[in-house]
Amino acid sequence: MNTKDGIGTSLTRKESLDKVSGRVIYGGDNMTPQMLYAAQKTSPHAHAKIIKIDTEKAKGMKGIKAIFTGDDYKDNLGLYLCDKPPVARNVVRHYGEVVAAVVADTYANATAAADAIAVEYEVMKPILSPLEALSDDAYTIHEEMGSYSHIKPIHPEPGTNVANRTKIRKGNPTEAFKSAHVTIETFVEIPPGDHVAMEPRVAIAEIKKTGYVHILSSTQAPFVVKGLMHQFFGIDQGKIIVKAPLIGGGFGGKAGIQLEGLAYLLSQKVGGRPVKLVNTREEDLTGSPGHIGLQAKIKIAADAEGKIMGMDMDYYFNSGAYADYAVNVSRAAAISCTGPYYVPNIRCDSMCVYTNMPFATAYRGFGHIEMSFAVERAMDELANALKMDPLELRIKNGIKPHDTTPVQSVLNESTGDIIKCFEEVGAMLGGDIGATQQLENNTVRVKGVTGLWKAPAMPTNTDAGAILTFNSDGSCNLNTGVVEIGQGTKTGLAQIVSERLGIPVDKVHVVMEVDTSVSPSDWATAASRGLMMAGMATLEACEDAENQIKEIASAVLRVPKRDLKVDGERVFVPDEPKIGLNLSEVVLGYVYPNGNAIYGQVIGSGKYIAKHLTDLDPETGEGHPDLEWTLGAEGVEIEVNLNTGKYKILKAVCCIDVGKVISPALARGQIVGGMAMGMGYTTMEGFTFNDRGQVTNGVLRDYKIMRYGDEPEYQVKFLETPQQDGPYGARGLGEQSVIGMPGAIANALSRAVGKGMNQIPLTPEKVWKTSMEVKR
Amino acid sequence: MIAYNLDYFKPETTEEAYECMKTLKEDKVNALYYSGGTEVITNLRKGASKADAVIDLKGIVEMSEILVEDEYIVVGANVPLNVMIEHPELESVMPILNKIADHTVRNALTIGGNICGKLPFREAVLPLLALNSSIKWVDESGIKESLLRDVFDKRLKLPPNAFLYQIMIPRNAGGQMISKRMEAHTEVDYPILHVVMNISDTEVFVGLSGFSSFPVYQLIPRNVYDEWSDPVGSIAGLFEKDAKSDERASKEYRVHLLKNQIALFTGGAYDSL
Repeated sequence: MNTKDGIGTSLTRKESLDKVSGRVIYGGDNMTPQMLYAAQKTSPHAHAKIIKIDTEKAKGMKGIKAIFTGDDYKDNLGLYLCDKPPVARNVVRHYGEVVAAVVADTYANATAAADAIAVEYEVMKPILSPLEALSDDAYTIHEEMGSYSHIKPIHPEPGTNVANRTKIRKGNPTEAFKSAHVTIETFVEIPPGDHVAMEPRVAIAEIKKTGYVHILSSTQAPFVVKGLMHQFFGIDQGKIIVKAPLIGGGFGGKAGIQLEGLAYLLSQKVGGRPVKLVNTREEDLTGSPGHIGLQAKIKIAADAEGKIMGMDMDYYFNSGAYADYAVNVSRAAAISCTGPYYVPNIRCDSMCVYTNMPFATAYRGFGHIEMSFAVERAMDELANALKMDPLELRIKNGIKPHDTTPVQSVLNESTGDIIKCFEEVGAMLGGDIGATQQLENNTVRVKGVTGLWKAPAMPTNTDAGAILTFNSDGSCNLNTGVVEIGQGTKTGLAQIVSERLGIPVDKVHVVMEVDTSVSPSDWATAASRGLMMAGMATLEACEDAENQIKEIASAVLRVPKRDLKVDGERVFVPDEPKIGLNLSEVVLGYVYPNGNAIYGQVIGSGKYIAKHLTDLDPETGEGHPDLEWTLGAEGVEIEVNLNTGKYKILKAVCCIDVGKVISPALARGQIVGGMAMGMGYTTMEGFTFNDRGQVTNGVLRDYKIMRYGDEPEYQVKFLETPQQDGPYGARGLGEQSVIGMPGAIANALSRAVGKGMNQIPLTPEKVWKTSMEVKR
Repeated sequence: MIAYNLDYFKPETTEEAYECMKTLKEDKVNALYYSGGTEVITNLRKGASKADAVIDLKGIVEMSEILVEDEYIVVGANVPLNVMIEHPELESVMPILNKIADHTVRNALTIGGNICGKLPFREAVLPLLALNSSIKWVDESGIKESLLRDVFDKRLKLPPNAFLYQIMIPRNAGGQMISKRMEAHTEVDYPILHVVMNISDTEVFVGLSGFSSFPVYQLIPRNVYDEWSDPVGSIAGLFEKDAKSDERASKEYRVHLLKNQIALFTGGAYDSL
């Protein structure tokens, strides 16, 4: 190829200039003369019966077009388990749950009316942890669960608070524990929290007189929305048009279905006029779903050399009030329940448990950040019990090609090299991971390491597509169903086209907005699968276009197709390069000097569908749900003042095997961004609750996330063990680096204080308290 | 956005401002004085405060200036914290002010707003109290002057409808000011303890923000302080009853941090075990 900006070069993202100059139109920026505005009223209680909703006063207020309460729609909506009314019906199940929505001519009028709605509640005792929800005397949060429809791969247990249980049974764990040299047991907890994407969620719905339903949404999954709108409301698939403009960050929180269903129902109430429903920041934090919480018990059995013989695990994921993606999060964690270690004997129950807390959806890492925290804390406990170096223990047990995963699928040669990742992380941290360095003033310097792995958890028929059209100057336009959520995939895909067809990347234009009526089908921009799947579809589209270009050129140049090459914006005969044509002469059809034209325009199309995937056996978990595995290792070095518990993460390192780096700067950005997110998650995030289940930090004044000043020095290293069925050998890297941070930080802090730090967030106060407990 | 309509007044003299508030109150209009807006706007948006009218004091020019006089630096109540931080004559208070909020917010956040706001921290008042500043304030009969220590108890206690006009910081207050701000985690947060200590020839000032539901301070005569054999225990003893527990930190942790910090400031002994 002849361009300087193909695979392996760092480019400015296609959308960056518009973004940084404020010229991007996000969903919430849209306004049309016909538009009406919605406001939501939310519950101050975590668990309450709705006795009465008095809308009389609100109805009479200025500009009010409609008021929507639970009684206005009798069915439930739900991504995988149909458990959620569009607004609370009869009962409120979490703090911040929407109990009414108002549509008015202005947002201000809608808000004033929402304020004037009087709701009478009978407040009841909430359930505030998964283990409490599973206790014998716990009430059943969804009594009707037996009647809810759900997808086949999840297994709800009606009459209990278990929305899904995924079982993993491999080998003979009982025997392994009996014959083990050492066994350890650990318990960890993570509170639910939020993604805190910069852009709050928005959906604008309009029902045209022709029956077409237009939805503009801040969604990572426009095709999922389209499918579910058909499923819930019986709208013809072809009449649902979902548009996803640029999204201001999603992190999983905008996958699935969010505000679209309610926006549609509100539009229906006002004769189909466009209704704009935008979350306030507070509604986005606690009304819409956030990230999942966890309680987990992990036991490991090992021999005297530190080889893991078996693991016994119970993951109690905290779904909150509704199942949303959480059921599948618990399933995904089961699939990789051991972390990136080879374990021959396993018992694992991964449960998704209802509580009266804000509900959970997908979050970067999709169950793996939580699972990893539990496993990596347990691994360090095991290293302590064995008096073994924590890095050495991990290297000894790191999973390799031909090993079987917990679901007994066999890792192939395309699997990354975790052993090398561990070694690189050890080297970046200067080795001696288990050491505690004493400094002055009761300050210590400690290190922690973790391994990580993740495969996408997605339907077995997950697909992607690409369409390549051309302009008269020989440039091309790439249309895929991947949503630009800040990850930079569109730029990466343009680089793939540039590399494959030899067209400079400036002349590879990408369609930014996804429109389900014109974009090729694409499951969702989630699960770190965008670059790999859409990348493969894009390569196929390039091949298709190249073929057509050669066909035209072979007629014009009177040479066989096989003798032609496409590169440098030309199609030519490589051994006689003067014989050739500029792409601009062929891509819209060739025109002879006398005016005759042939062939017509080149339209390349390509597609991809996941291959050989199967669901899990409900009793043993056996199956092949994992398309490709990305493996890596992470570590931190922390300075801790034991007098105050205050600590500073000095250095955060990551070595990850991504198969092939398409764009180094974008790849590094994703890795560092994930690490920063993981640090915030571990050190300061998570909702706090009072005993009535009210969220006490549901505003950004109080819900703290990472700031620039909190950033450590980052070191990132990539390995390139090729993904043999990925584009140029690349595999997914979007989520992975978030996964290992909680374990790495907790392991370092545990070493500093001399006791397991197993409850996120790891605040300085907790560090101080634990340190005091140990000293006393 | 604030979803409610508010009446907005922008008087240009202190008399107009006072009259405006008085008239609105007589008409039963819930009105607020307004300057930087960082607290008012966010609270109105969330519904945490309600107001039908705001009186923007930024039209009064004397309230937006810093004047260097012989004895005092006179700081208008509307002066944003960043302007104070960058002022060469205000170096002694700078290390305290530049830890409040973040740089972007401090461009708008005013000294008067920080002291008179509803939030319980009011950190900016600590160095002003430490330096024994005076304030000028406005009521029906015009501009009055008081020692800040005489009118500040948990919050600034001005008569109804009165407002803070200027702060007069003595140029030669004497003493050495030291301070330390601690947060639950990230620095861009409210303090769980902001301790300001000023040791002069005659007195020792210790003031705390974030420790209680309001700023608290103690003045210790220098000769008494010098006699203390256990300054950590003695100082902490003056404040312990005020410590609070909340979402950010427990009472025990706050007291511990206070003792630890006083030990560092004074060189006194403190064994946390």
